Amino acid sequence: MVRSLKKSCSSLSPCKSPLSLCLEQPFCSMSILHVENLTKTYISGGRELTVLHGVNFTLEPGDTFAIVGPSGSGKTTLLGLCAGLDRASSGSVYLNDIRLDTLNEDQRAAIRNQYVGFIFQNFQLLPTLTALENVMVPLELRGEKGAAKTAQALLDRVGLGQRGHHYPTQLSGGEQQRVSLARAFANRPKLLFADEPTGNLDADTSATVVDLLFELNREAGTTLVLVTHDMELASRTQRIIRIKGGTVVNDRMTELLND
Amino acid sequence: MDSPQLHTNIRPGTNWLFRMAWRDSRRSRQRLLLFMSAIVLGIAALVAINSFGDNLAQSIDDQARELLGADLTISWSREPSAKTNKLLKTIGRDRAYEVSFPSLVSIPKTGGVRLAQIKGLEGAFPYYGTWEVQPVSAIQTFRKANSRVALVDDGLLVQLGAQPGDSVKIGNLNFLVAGRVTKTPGQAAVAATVAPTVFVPNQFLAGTGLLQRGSRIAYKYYYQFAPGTDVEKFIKPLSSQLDKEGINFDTVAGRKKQTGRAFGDLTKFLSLVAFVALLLGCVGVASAVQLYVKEKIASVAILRTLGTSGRQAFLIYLIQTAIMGFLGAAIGALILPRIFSNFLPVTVETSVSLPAILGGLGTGLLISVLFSLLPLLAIRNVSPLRAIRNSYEDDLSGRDPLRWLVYLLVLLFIVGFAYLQTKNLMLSIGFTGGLMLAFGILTALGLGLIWLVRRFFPASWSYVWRQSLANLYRPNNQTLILVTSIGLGALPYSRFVAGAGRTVG
Repeated sequence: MVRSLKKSCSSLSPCKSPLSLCLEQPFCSMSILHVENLTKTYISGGRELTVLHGVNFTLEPGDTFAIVGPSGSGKTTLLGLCAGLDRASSGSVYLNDIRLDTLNEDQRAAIRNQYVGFIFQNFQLLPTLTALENVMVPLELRGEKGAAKTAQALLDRVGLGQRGHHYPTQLSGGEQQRVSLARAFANRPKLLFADEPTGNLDADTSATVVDLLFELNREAGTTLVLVTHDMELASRTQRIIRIKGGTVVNDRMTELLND
Repeated sequence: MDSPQLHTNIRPGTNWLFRMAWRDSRRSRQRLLLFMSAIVLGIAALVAINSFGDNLAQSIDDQARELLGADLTISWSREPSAKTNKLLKTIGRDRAYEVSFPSLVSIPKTGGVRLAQIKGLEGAFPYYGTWEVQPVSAIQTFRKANSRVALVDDGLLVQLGAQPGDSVKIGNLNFLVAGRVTKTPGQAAVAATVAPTVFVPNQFLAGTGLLQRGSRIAYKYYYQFAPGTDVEKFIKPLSSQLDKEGINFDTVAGRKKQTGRAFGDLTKFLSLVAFVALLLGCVGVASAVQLYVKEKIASVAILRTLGTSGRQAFLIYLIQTAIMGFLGAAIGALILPRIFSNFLPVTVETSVSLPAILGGLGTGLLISVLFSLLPLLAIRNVSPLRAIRNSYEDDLSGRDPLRWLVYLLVLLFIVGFAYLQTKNLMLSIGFTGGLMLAFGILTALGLGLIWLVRRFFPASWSYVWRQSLANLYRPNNQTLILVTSIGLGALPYSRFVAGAGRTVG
């Protein structure tokens, strides 16, 4: 029943499964991320520019999910909205059952620190902090004790245990992305957002990083949301949503694609 | 299922903010040093002047009698009545007599000629303080008054290329230069450069032929009283009589008050000048922090994605600027007011004035925080979206109501500080108003320059000229900052030069 519920939840928009109606939730309360009729409009050059039109989907804990589409399709905008980096023009985002669009910037920051991990295309390590200190930041923000020890363990896990005292400029692109991975998992996130994680890496390094990403994700049981151009990478996830012109044009499980 | 909690109350401690401020400053220490230097000189000037004021008051108290060189002086330029003349010759336990007038002096050996103050002395002047003459024996030679000897200001001898042993011609008589005078009680060293003095025994003055009508002669008695005499009480009954005949008198208490007031006014003026220098430092602080913040936007965006609140990000950079400001103030406060010692009639012990130093530290810290607040406020509005989208433009221009509060605080600071220095509210408000006006004019000038360059851009000029001029209006240009800073900096200098010009004229 759980399996069928998962399927029905993922294919309906908005989710209207009997379980959610019974619990009087607007959506399936088993979800980790629920996006409902999401729209984003910018004012550019005095004109309104709608980059996302009525996007709907739901993710459950442990899902791996890819958002693909051409440049300018709205992938990054969608990722930003789901992660609480931005506020939608209309519609709602529920992250771990918390509605993000009613929260202010600082509240959303607290949500991110508590539930979300990030991996960026250009790594986005703090240049004045060492690798170890970069990994420690999410832990320190939570006021956790033993941040250095935990961060060191994470660096060991990504194979950079001896490079903790190096600064980002002293690391290669692949090494920086591995530090970024360690940082993303530092706060034991429920949801991991990866924006083109291999965009700035060569093929060999990309493979190493991607393997590590999925491995860590599997170990932690985190829900993964991946934005990528790379269909090969996207096909490693359970579900792919294709966006074009700000609209979802396709939303399928990858096992269906492979079939 | 448990409801998810929104743990917005989880916060790292203040330690983390300081730790992040330290970590973040690693690559930026040179720029922060630049920001610090904007504070150092301004605070140094302020502390030096305030220390000078404190030390001066103390020195005037300690060296009061040396200000006159006597317990009482009585001076006149018109001949007193016979009765008063008789009185003047009987006051006090001992007295010295001086006749002085300006005249040209020349050195026959070198042919040099200079205007100097001629002082004919009779008696044991000075009664207090050290008359520094080289060689020391020259004073005894002078006081014996057996022959025509003169004691000449050191500066004058240097200007005329003369030395002890040479002759100096005053009117019809030649005098042997017995010694060079380096310090006279009651006379500031700087006065000797403007009107150098030649001391001669009074009995020879008549022989110079210069004591005649039109010579602007001044007469003075220096009196020494028995220890414990209340000179103020003694002279009070005589004051109306002396006043009627246009005779002036000066006591130690009176000179102390006068000197303190004169230098108090000087101190206040110099404090305001130092304050202008400090305000220039403030402009430098604001400019440096603004550029610094622009460089840190990317890091702030990353911190925001990781969960840092706007307030935390703001505090990290506020801590950096506050610490740099405090260090700058500490360095500035350790520079002592040596440069002012030559302008004083007393020897000022340049000891550390703790109130001035503490005031300087507090002012430096306040300034660095207050003037960096404006650019730092923008940090609160940095969006985490910048971490995933480089083209995202934050609204850092500041439609932020807090900015108006900061503007008000800055204005209140300027008025308040000026009042602390001058103890005069109207003067403080006027000073602030004048400063704002100057600032406004300079800003308009800077904007006008930018407009003019854009409007009449010389497209046919050489590449170097075109690039140079274009940089005046390109994004991140420093045109306004430079025009206002240089303009404000030139303002007190031009006042000094104009004032000096009027004085000499």
